[in-house]
Amino acid sequence: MKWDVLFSEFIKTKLKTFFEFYELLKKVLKQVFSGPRREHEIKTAIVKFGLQILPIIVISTAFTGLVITQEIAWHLRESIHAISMIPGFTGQFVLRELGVVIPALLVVSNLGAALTSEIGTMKTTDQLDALKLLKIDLVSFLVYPRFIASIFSLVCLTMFSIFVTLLFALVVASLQYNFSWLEYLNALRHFVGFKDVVCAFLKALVFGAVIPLISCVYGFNCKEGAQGVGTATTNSVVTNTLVVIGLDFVLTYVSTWILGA
Amino acid sequence: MSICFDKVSKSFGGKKVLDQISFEINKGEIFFIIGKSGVGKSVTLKHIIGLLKPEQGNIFLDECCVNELNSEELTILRQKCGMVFQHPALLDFLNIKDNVCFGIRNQQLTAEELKKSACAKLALVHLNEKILNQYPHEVSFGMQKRVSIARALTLNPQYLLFDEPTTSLDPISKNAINDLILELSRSLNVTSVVVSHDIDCALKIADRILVLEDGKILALGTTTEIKNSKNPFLIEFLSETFINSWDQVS
Repeated sequence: MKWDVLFSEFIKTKLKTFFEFYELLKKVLKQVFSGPRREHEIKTAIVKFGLQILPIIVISTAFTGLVITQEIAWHLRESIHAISMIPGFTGQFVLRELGVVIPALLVVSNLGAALTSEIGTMKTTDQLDALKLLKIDLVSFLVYPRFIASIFSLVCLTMFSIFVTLLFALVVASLQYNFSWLEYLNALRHFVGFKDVVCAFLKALVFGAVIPLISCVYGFNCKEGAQGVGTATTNSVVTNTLVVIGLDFVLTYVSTWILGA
Repeated sequence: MSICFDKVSKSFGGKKVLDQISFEINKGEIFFIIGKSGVGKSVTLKHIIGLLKPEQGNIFLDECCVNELNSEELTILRQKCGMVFQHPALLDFLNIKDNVCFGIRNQQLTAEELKKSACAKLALVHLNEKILNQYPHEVSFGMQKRVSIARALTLNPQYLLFDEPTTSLDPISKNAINDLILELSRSLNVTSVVVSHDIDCALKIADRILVLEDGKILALGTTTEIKNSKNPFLIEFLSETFINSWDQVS
């Protein structure tokens, strides 16, 4: 096959996925404002989404806190021969980027993949058709609770991951670079503010909304068989990862422009 | 007539799976659709309840054109149908009771009423209430099939659609499911449409049989008519299995 044909096929597939994502988003938003509340399903999904991934996020972000302090300290020492700005640089980097993007990417690789494979398997084993025949609206029953749970969980996880990262950054700073806790927090206060927290919150909100929808779109389009489920899951994780990274750039740009964060 | 296919065509990826097929299914009969793998049997079944839409032609269910209905109208129409899929298609995260009662869970019934209803439907498929609190993976595949039949019966359908109901079952379970299809169809007076490879079963319980080949109707008739057909393709298709089964039946 020629490259131009392959490329046009690729673009067509991606456009189709985008329009399906858009349609699903419309249906879910309609459900948010006018559908049944589905509190039980949402609570179950929050427990699954939030608690299941919490240990992984704690471990990952703790190490991030340790590493980032070491890195920033090394760069500061090399460039300006002073380490007094470690708290500020660390705080900004964690609140603007790492504390938000790392949990989002972990959610993609863990829960996004699980969601695609779950819905894909349901499709290949006729469970989705069975639900339709039992008068169940798939968006209302399968997507909406996970959508709400994902937003709620990712916002909470992001705030928690920021806290853990900063805590471990503080520990390294105090043990290795002799910062007192008060000194560290005071320095941090000058560099990060409420706007940075709002920016992190907004990013988590958007990532939390987008990840389950993309995962569901790939699940609903899953092809037959184990290979079909595997391919759908891989594509879902790849797309989600790229979208999170791309949106991170866009949201950083927008928040800098609007909030001055 | 209760189900009617009028010159229905359907393609997937350029391959014509159904090619201008027309047939009717009468009320109360057990109608088998048989044929080799990939000839469009399951596709035909899914058209009846609007899970697939034809490219050409119309499908009528109780004089209602299925392919012209919107999603709300389809939901109402589907209440008349219970479908048993090739996979049991039970929801993994629900126990047997909740799976069986899933279609009626929003009908303001008490927990006791739901349990009673689940027991009644399980009794119809010869399962007892001991499995009510078990999860699908905790019971055998044959039992899962029966539970999926019980679930299909929850909404008291007028039509029962079976997609390869005996696939992956041992011979004893196969016979049990076949007997169950016959028993339910007669006792509940429903129209049953069964997609199957199983010619034994078709000869045993069908009122009429439709044979599909390359998206077209190869033969349509009663078991006797099918057996006496002079069509060489049909003779080849039925060959040994048919003769053996016919001997058993007669």
